[in-house]
Amino acid sequence: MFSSTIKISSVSDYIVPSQECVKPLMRNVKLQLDDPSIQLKPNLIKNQNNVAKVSLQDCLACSGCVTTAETILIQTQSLEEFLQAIKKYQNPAIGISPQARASLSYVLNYTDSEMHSILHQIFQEMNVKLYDLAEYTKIAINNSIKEFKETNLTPLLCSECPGWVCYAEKTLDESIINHMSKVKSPQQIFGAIQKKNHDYLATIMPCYDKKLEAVRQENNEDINIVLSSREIEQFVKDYIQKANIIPQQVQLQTMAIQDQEYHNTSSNNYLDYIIKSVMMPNWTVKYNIRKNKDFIEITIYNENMESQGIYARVFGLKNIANLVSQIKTKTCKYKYVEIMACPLGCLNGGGQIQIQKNTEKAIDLIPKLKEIMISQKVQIDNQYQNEQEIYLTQFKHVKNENNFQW
Amino acid sequence: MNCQLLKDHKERVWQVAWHPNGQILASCSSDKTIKLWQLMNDQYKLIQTLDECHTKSVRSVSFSKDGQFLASGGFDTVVGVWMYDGSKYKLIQQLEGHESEVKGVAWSADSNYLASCGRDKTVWIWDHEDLEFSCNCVLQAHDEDVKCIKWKDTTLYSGSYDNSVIRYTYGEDDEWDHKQFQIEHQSTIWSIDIFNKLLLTTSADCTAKVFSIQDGTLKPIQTLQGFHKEPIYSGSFSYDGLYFALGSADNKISVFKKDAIDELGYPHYALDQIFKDAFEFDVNCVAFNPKNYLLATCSDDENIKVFNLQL
Repeated sequence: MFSSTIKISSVSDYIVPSQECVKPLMRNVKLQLDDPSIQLKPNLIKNQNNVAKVSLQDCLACSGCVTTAETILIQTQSLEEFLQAIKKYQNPAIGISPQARASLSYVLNYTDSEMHSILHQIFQEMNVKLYDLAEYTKIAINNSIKEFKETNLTPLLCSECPGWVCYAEKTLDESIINHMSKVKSPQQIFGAIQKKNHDYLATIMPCYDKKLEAVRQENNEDINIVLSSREIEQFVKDYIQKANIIPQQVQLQTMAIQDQEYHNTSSNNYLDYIIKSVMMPNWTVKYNIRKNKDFIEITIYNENMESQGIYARVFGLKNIANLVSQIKTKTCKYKYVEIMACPLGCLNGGGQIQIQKNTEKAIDLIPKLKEIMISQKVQIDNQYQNEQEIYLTQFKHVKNENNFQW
Repeated sequence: MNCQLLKDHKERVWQVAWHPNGQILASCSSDKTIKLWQLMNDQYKLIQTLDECHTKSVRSVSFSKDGQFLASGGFDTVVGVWMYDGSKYKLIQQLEGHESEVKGVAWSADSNYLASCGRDKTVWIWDHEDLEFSCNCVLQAHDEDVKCIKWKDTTLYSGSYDNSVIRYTYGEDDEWDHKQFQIEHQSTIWSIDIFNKLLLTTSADCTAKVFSIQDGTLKPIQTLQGFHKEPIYSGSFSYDGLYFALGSADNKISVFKKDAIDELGYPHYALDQIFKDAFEFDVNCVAFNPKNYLLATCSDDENIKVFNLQL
């Protein structure tokens, strides 16, 4: 008989595996090390207090308590940690995602271009070079177009969203994971390219799960730390006040497009660029809302109105679940699917600055953020260049050896 | 006292649930199966073993109010939907989406919605059209493992390892709104049952509480304390609210009977009887029959017992 519930809730300096943690015991370590097929080995170290320490990799491999993973993340990837670290490095840099910047611009009431100039000045004073991740988004999109044109897989599933990646690896089998795009995300392409020029790299993202992406083994710690827009909001606000920073107009570039109704800038327009790449003159596009606005189907027709393929944009877990069900029952007819775990996409990411719920609902806020992303920008020419390097990553089904759970 | 033993599961039995006709009992177990038992000539006969859905423990089982569907939830993260074809329940769909163990499944009163909850802290609501089930909503309002769910018509209640109860209602803007109740349980809420406007919670703090659902809140009416020395995993009202039963990790089952109604119209329940050593191990679930005073119970000792409180 199992003893009644013992609740371990207090988390101090050590991560105490919660009752739900599937790797709370040392015996599990032995079990796993004996199995060479499992690559994500837990790194449990007992300290004097006999408390097991769990690394982030362990938590990634586990479907258990998110609390533990979150706690580790906050400890290892915080603003304080960043401010400490940049003092130790000669040549640090930080990349900002357009979605995270839009959130800051809106909340602090600047234009996007002013916001970028402010961040540029702040980081310059701290000897940190600021990059706009739009340029790396272009590489990710061009890589994706190339992959799409060369693959035989249908559907090809966009894998930029680390929330979706974690979910897929933990809960779905290889038959679905094999459909995931191998292209690195803009964050990791930024890391892979700029690590040659900088000894410390950070990013500002609209998403907490990007922290999980950064610590994935195949990413080799290219990105040292990921901060969310929410985490730096107060810091930026305070800095502007005390340092008397004067916003300037700088010319920003963007990959965001919003000229068609079916376009959606919220999550880097992967789908829109994929569609653009297959369109021929005189071809047309029709879109169709399935069940809700976060599940859009787009059909391409040739000049004779014959279907040339169906594509989809799927945001939010409930729609992902329904898409996965389609794939499993082999009723999925899409060629490419842009998948993001957050409803309304990355502009509504979990790391974005929260607007008081009663004053503004996400459904009203997101169109404003989209406007910020588009306005006063020069469109980046995404003309595909053959010499462009391809940045690839990998995904795999994470086996979860479960012991008893209540 | 009349008690029948139903023996066939090979491992701990997690839950028992009655068919709305009161004649069929479903049970689910760590042996990965669901078993259906039918009352024939005062004897329970095993009529079907459903073993083709789950690859791990089946933690929860529930009939829809019209008896057309049976749902099951497993530690394999799968929710199974079974449909009655006139002679048997057949698996029609496996709903995938939960990230880890499913702990509870429940149908809304109109059978339009199926809810499932689990260790990933979420509650999923599924709807169906032409017998095709799809996800309607994923609700993550709890901070911890969601242990139990219970519908009152088309309002859903959930109980969690975070010691709270959350109520979900379908709002005007086509979204599920939720409201959290901190109801002074000191530990995990293991079960919720509802009779009319009375809501019964049982907890790992070894107490059970009765609330009145009124004006959108839960008004505490009675706390049952000192009857069990271990977590109370399950509570169930009889069909008429005259009784409720509690099942605990102390291997005991206690039955309470309504003995008074106070000036505000709230009932008071008093201990009626305790079945000591009802089982050798934890009592995981107690469930009153929807038509009479039969009480189905199940345990870690692999057994199911049906008590008749009228005899």
